[in-house]
Amino acid sequence: MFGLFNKSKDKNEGSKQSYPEWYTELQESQQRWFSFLEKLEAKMEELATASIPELKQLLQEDEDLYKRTFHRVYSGVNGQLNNIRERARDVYEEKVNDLYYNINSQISVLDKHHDLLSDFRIACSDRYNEFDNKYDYWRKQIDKTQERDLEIEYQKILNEFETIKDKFSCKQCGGHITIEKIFLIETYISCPYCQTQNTFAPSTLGRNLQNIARELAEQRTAHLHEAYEAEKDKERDLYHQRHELSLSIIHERDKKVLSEVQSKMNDLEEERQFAIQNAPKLRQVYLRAMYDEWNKITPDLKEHNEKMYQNQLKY
Amino acid sequence: MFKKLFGALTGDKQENQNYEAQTSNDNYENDYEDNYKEIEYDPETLHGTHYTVEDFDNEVEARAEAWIADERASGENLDEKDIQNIYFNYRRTVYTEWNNCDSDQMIRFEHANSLKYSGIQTSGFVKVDDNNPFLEPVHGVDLRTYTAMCLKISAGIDYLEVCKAMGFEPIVWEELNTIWPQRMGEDTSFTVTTLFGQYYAENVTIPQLENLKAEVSEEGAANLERMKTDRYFYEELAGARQAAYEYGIDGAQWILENFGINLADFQSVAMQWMTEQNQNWNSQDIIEFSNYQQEKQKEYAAKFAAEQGGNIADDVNF
Repeated sequence: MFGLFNKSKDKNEGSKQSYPEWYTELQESQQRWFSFLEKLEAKMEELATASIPELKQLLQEDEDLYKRTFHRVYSGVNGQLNNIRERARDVYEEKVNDLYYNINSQISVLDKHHDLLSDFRIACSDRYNEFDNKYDYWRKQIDKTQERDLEIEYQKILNEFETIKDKFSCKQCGGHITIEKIFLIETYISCPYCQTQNTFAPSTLGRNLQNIARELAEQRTAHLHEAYEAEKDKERDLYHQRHELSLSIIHERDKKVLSEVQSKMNDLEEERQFAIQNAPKLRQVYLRAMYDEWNKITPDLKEHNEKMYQNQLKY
Repeated sequence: MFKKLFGALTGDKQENQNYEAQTSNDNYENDYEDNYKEIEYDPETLHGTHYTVEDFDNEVEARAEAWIADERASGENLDEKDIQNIYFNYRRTVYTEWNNCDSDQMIRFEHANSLKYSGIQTSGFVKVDDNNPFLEPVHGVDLRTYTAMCLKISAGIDYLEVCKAMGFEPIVWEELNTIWPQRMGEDTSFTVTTLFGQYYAENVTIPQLENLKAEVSEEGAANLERMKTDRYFYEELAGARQAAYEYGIDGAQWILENFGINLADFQSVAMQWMTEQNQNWNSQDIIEFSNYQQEKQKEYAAKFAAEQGGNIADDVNF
């Protein structure tokens, strides 16, 4: 696992006397740093694997409309994960960076052993990045516990609506009142027979439609969002590809090779320009589809949502 | 290009020959304080009184347009956002040059003029147009009244009680509570949102709601008063609340139980400090308070951790 560490250890074998005295300290610190991170990573994994199933279960069982219990625990789990990350950061500052600067201030950059110091720092910081990537991974896994299949909840709301919509009668004349659609908030409904205003109060489940509508629409149009994100990322990606090519011909003298590479570069630039133009179009396609879905789920919010759509197009 | 950037000022505006834009306070005072008279600022616009706003806007435009023309001539595609950024940066440059000011003063100026230049309101500098359709009352309830109702409800008073005191059916409240938030979303200038925040910070109340008081203990009232006047105490509680959430505790509830301050009052004071910070922008203070809050958050985190038998990684050592 710790290839870098092993390598520097190997280097040390056989020619110990040629290294400066601080090198032992570096090696030891590096070894400690590596094993410290390894232990922290094990803790992260332990924390995540234990809490992910619990969080998922909690989300399912949390009857609260806003899932407050879930969010409390979720926030606590993230707090512990953050705490682990902070430990790593503090220790890196204290044990790696400080040591580096300390020795760096004692020796010249021209010192023949200076590269030992740079190698130490690079190895430690690479290892730190590796740790951070793992942190990101677990963070995302924990984030995912928030996701739930909203189609199921939506179906529950639709089913409930089907069962209640014909069960109302006018408080004045007793005439039958059909609830025409899912109301999101309390609403006056006129009796078709005597015109008396009746107050219809939607159920807790029904009210929740408003809270899940956008996310449900986003779930349904996630593929379009991904397509947009992929197009957006192309710009940097193509730029780097082209840049790599341009670096590769710095010393090239062969005209044929030069013109081939140049033509590849031109193609890449063309693709890049296309991506720049195309990404906003894909964004609009996504937004339009998402808002269309949203409007289908909560037609009552259409007027408001359309204004939000127009605003969002501008940013 | 640099000639364009720095050279447009050689005219009659001032004698200052140093055109470097200051972006930090470092060494700045020393360089300038002996040489120049203190600038007088218009209390409304925060422009220096030694020039007119029109001159300022023209200068910014001239420099920005020259830069834009240059960029376009060299084949750059500039979209609307780029152009806004160019203007934004020249506004900073010209303001700093013409007023010999530090970045804090520049930011105060930006806050005071955010609506004019960026189309966005800043808390503490809200400017309201009489005919703003977003501020039309809903069912006769204006934003101030709506905010007063929200304050009562987030202080823990049942919304039905609030409706009764206002003399309307709960159905009206539900509509208010739909339409006002919708307007906040639709209003790209953030006028509704910032104004709501401002009323919230003022802890506005209206006669109909005066008699509805959330139960506040004597200790809670004293803590609240202290939080309003002692910024450090506010920062401590904000840090504590954050730490609580990180340990799976409902921070708002924890503050209520331990300090007797309810969510509405807490948020109101938070808004009050934020507004104050915007109005008297001072980066040194901001850093000081932010560090203090972090320090306190750590202290409380250690306390919560101890209560929960430690953090999961406490036994891992270097």
